[in-house]
Amino acid sequence: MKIFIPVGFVVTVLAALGCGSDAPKGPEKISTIPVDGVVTLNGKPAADVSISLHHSEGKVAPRGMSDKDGKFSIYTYGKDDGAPAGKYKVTAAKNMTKEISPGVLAPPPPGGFKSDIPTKYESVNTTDISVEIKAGEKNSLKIDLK
Amino acid sequence: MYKNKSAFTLIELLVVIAIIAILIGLLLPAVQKVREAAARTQCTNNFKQLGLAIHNFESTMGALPWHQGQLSVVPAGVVNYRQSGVLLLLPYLEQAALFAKIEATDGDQDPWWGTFLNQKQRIPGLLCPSDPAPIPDSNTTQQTNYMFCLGDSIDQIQFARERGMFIASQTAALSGVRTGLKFKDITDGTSNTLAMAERRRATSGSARDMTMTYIQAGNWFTTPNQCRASFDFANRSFPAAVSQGDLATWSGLRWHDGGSGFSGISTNAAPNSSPACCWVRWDAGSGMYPPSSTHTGGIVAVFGDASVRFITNNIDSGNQNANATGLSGPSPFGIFGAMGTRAGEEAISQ
Repeated sequence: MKIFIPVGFVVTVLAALGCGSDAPKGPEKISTIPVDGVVTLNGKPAADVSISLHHSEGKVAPRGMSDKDGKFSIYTYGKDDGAPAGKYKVTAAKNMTKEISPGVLAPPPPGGFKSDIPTKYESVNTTDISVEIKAGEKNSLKIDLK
Repeated sequence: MYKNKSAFTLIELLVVIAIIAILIGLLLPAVQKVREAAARTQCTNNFKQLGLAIHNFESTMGALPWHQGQLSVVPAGVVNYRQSGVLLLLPYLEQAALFAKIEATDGDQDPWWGTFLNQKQRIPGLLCPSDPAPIPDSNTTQQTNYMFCLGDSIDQIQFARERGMFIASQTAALSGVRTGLKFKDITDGTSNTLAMAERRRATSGSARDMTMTYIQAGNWFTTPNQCRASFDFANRSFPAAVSQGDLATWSGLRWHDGGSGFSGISTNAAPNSSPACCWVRWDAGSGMYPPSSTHTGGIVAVFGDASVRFITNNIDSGNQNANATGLSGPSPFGIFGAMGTRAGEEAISQ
């Protein structure tokens, strides 16, 4: 019965060769430092706000979503892993679209979506918030939107 | 006396079976390859038909179709003009009867409502036979694999930075004009400019694979690598930190929808190298929509001169950390980026 082992092996190897795939590789991973924080709008905690950190090198997009107390935890590659050290510009925006039926998002009303967060915080070109993530420290961000 | 009679022993039988098994093992991958080659040939033919349809459209109308617009005049104050340019090509794909039906009943309908009656009409020429995604039943909305090229920017819609061969024109929609750019606008030359390429169709609402589009509020990414870093390539799935609500099932899901998330491609990342990412959380929003397929090693695409070419996954896609917003002049995304632009003034040599 031993003969089956090499046969099975050969068939498997051939099948693997025949159906080989060139899986794409992602960008190089950079080590991260845990980052959390709280976001406020005019001094009050802001819920459901997407926070994104923009590095000038453009390699990663660390981001987080605030809970009902305005607290958020930043992740880059996996849950709560934080962000690579460095200086970042911060953008903040709220999800304004609604699902009107499964898979169908409501189109924007004339003039676009209206959010209580000023639109200048949406774009990296207009935001005036910047933060620095330092290695070897506990990084807690306080982001106040006005 | 039976001792000398020749017969097969059990071992000999097993050896014969083993040899047959090896031969079948050799043959099966070859059969698979032939099947894929046949599927790719059919896909190439589909692209050729679309390329010729674009040229026949141009000959008749004097300009190229838009990739997103509306067949009937859009009333003032309405911002939706989301029908796909594929509708305009129907008469040139031997679907004149269907085009007449759509014109009569659906000309003013938004593609995401059931009131667009002819969305259940399957166009076989819009489906790539290699795509493993199931073809929907004939009583539901039909899908497409073939997408218009929107250029190399990730700002294409909201800031009118469509640097490709096709545009979405609200001006055209408001006046009922059914054309977009002209050949004279393609100063890079039609043989150097991508017209259409393919994307895999998204499979289901709960999938976490590369056919999904990652959406998040705000202008959350500006470079291709920022989008790519959000995907876990080792596990070929979005990480658990990305909530299911941020993954959209858009790619190719409505053949008649011109929204970029449904039927657009961008050329800022190499084919099959990245998931799609949208930064406005809206299904016709700006973002990154790289072409994808299950063909071995690349994608099929048709160029502005209706030539169909195979583009490998290893094509030079330039600096993936470069900002893809507000682009002007030559593309920072290498040869692939240059193919996507109509007037980038890049010299392309392959």
